[in-house]
Amino acid sequence: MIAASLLGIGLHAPGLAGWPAGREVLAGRARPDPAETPAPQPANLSPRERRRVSAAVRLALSVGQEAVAQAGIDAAAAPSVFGWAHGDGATVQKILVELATEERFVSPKDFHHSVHNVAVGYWAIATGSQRACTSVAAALDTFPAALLKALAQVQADREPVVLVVCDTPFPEPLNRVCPVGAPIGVGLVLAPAGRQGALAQLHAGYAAGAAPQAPEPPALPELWPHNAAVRALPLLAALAREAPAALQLPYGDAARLELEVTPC
Amino acid sequence: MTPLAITALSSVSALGRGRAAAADALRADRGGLRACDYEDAYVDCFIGRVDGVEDAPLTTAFRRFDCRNNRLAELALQADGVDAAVERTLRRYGADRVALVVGTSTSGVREGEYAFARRDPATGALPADFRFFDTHDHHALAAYLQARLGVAGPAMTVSTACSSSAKVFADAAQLIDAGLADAAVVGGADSLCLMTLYGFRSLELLDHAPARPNDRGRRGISIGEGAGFAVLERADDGAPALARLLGYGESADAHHMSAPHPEGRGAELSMREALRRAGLDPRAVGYVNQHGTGSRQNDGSEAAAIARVFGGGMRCSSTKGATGHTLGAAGIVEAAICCSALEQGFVPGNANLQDPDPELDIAVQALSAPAALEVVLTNSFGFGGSNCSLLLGRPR
Repeated sequence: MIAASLLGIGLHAPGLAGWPAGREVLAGRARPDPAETPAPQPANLSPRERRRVSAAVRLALSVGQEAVAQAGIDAAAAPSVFGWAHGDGATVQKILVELATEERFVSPKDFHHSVHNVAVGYWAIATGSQRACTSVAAALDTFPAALLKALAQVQADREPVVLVVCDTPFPEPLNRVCPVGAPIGVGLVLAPAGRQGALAQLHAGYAAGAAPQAPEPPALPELWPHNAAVRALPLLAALAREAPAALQLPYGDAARLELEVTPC
Repeated sequence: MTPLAITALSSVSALGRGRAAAADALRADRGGLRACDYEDAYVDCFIGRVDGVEDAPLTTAFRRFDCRNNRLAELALQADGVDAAVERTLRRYGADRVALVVGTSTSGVREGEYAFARRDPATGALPADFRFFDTHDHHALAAYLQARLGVAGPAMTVSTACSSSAKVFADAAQLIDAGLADAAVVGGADSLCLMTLYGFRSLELLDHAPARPNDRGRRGISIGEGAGFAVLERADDGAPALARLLGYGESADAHHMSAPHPEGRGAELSMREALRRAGLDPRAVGYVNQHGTGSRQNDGSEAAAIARVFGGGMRCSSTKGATGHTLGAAGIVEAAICCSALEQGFVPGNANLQDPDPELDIAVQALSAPAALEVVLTNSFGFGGSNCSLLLGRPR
């Protein structure tokens, strides 16, 4: 198992706008009100860039920013790992619609915003970080995949890594074939084990064999079968309850992520 | 870092199927570009299309994954015995101890393009036979490889545009170092599609003639397609090595989504990090395989960065004039070319070079030539300012 410290958390989901409010819901101390979820607004983008980027990119940047602020690290000095289940589906669909017309006019902005790493690209621009940044996908398994990648990087380089995991809905008709349900983003700042001031210590491992049963989703249970980012919520619920937990999360049909959480 | 052994390696590109086909073409200074003849794409450009993909559908148990991107992947699995090498690797370590890290920028988006062209005119619905997760989705390539190869360790797709299948080496090295896997299957695939042809056209980044990287008159890129896979293991553990991964470097430009930093700031950082991880002096490197797309900006900023890291006059070439820019597959296709160069002792020529750009402070190898190489570096840079440099060396 890999050991790591968790230094900061960011969260945005329906009824879970920001970690301070989301924590209350995940700990069972408050009821979620999805109707009262404000749109996420990252403060670290210039107003011009904020207008240029999609709502999905704003979500990814805002949860990363919230986690970094809580961790008190310098984002410009940190590598970043962005896990995004299917990339920016709205932009990709816009291009697919255009390509089905006679003109096939693809807007230059849409094209370079269609890459999967658009969010981490803007993260680097917003934070000024020139460190390693990557964008990974693993469909419904994007959370365990991106978490293991980020933890392996912490282990290799012994320094904090910013992890953002998102899943954001497609418009119709792609929504019909990939019904993500709602935009959800989670940000985590991970660092070498035993860090002073950490929120929790984590131990993570990969094991063969399906998870015996999926953990009880602490919120938004209807999204569990479709949304990759909702699968980070059992970890956040354990942190919200400030109680040690041993989680087994599905990673494909025949393997699992084992995650031990020890709040500090 | 402790070097890792590359114990199997393949590539498929416009230069042919298998590493030998690519090396033979490069040594004979034979290119693979042609005027665009891809399906019904009416774009005035040259492309590096792989012959015969149309006639190589995935069948039987894997029919559901059938799409151009996964077909290219299949060709690359068969090309240099990678499928058999993976089987040996799974037996040696156990399937769940072998990670799968592959890169792609557009995966099977061509299937999404077909589906949108066939929407129900009344309801706008996509056709019922559109297989999103098996073909179109970013992770469809990895899903196919898991099913086809039985690799059962941690699986992930890296999608950082044109650095995707270079960065997979870094991820695999970290997973192995952290003890999450004992070996990894890495690589990637990217295939021709309308999205990239029309997208790069709209960015005015396509040359109407074959791309001429490093040329004074260069006007843009030629899009290609390709695939390749490698098996990475600890150097003292596994099968005999073809080459070694000595170091990797990754950086971000933090500058612009579609234009490189004008002085190649990020490119310089990734090359320096690769040298630092390898513990090597720049003088140890005998050849740099450039990202070298043929765009005005890329080649200029990259050459400036190379000159700062290695001093002026470093021996370099871009092989993208021969293969086309295989986008998310460029990392693995060019890593494979570099390993052939180490193995066979030659520096690949820079296809289509007529008039070397005197502004570039590098020694561009116009034609392929024999050379004893010990260590080479290959660069891959992508949209979003995502940079990766790999240092590859001869086996011990």
